[in-house]
Amino acid sequence: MWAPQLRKPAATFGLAWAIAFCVIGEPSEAATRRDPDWPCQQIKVPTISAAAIWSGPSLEGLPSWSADQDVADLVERLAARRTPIEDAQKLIDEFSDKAGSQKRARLLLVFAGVFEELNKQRDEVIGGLARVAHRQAASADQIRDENHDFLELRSKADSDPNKLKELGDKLDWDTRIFEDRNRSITYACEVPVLIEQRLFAIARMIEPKVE
Amino acid sequence: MQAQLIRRGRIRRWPPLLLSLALTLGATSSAFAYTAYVTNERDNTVSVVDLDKMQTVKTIQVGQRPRGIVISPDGKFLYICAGDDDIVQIVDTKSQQVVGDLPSGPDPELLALNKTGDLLYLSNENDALVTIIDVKERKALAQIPVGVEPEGMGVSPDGKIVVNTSETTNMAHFIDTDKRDVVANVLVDARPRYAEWKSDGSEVWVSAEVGGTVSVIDPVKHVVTKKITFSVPGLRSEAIQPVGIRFTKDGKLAFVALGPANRVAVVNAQTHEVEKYLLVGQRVWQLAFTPDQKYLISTNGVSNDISVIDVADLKVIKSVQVGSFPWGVAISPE
Repeated sequence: MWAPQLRKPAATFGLAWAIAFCVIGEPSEAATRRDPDWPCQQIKVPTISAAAIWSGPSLEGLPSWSADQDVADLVERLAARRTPIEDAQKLIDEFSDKAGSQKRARLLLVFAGVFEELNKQRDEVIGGLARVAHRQAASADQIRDENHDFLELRSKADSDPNKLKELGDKLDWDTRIFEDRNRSITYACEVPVLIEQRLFAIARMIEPKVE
Repeated sequence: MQAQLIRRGRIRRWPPLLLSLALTLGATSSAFAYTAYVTNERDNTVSVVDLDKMQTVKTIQVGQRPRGIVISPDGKFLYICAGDDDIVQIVDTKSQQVVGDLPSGPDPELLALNKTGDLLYLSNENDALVTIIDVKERKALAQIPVGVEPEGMGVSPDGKIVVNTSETTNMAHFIDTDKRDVVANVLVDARPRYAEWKSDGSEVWVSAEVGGTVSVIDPVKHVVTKKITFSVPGLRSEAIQPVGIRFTKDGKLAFVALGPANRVAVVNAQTHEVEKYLLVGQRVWQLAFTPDQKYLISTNGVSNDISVIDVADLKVIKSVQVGSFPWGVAISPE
């Protein structure tokens, strides 16, 4: 279990200083250009266009995919990331075998549905990343203030050691949370790309069957 | 006619039927027995892809962030830019192991060999330099200052000129390989990434990733004679980011990798008109032909695969999974 009192304050001050002055310090040219809603290194691609992953028939003007229950069921399974991508081809083949005379049209609906659902999932992830980015910016502000208060108190000859320890521990704790969240963000930033990969893989499975 | 096979000092006669079978099989296997070597930027490996089986048959561990890759003309060695290790590694294609390195200078990204395979030209992205390396002696012969963030390297068919592109300066620098000096600079569009010469030396094409164009440059007059633009219905123009370029040997067709457009453009290299767009994989970076030019291979950085394009039919016939973030590709000469 993590014990804040065991951490060396000096190390924390260093990190807190870095957060306060480097991460959110004087706005550099790069920082001012940075999208406040996007905490990732990856280039932000707000939406995936169908043209980027699909060169089959147009998805414009199709009937509702959710009106066909078999199509809707398959869309749900294909869009669920718990369905291994290796199983997706099997599911599509099975559907294709049983789809009847409207096979191509129904498979096109399947892709339209998967495209819509995975784009929706991706939007949610990107929205979540934006919320985390704002929370991190607020945390960095807070750590900067705490760091300022701590340094001010420490510079006084008659500072209360208990108060100093309390401020140090708080700074330590908040910095730790900030670091942990940053690590989580790094992983979460991969998710939009993982969804794009899945969508493209499914497009590749369906497209040859509807051409 | 019967053939003779000399084996262990004896002469054996092959029956005609067996001979024709052997020739047929031999011809088949030699036509497809190429190997593609693909650098995987994320997982620090090179995937070895058997283009007969169309599958990855081995993974070689190399240095950090491997990107640019070339193969020696005899097919014995691969030279790989391990950018984050600041070296070019030498891989023996027989043992499939790293057997040495070359003093590349910092952050090598792309490299090009001359025809004889004894001189290597590479760009040092962080130091605005082009380094020339004597491959046999494994030593740097010269470093030539160029523009900021140099990247693409293209050696002219006669070996006299190397064109280097600098991403930030937005120029193609023409380097005289004897003088080892820049003799001309040509302004192109934003973030030029790759330079490729036509086999007759009549044109150099430079792709601009942010500009979204390919500049056709007259290498004698050092002027841009044409800018090729690309347009895919339904795609925003900023999603079209030209990178790798390859010409067919007859100079009739060019193929241009279009990055996050996930497509390779087929361009008439004589009229400079785009004829077709082929949907390959996600984030297509670099291209390489098999030596018979039957196939063109593209590396797809996000879908973690390579696409195999049938050059005669202009169709994508296969995708082969490789490592994480495939970037560069080189193909064995036989």
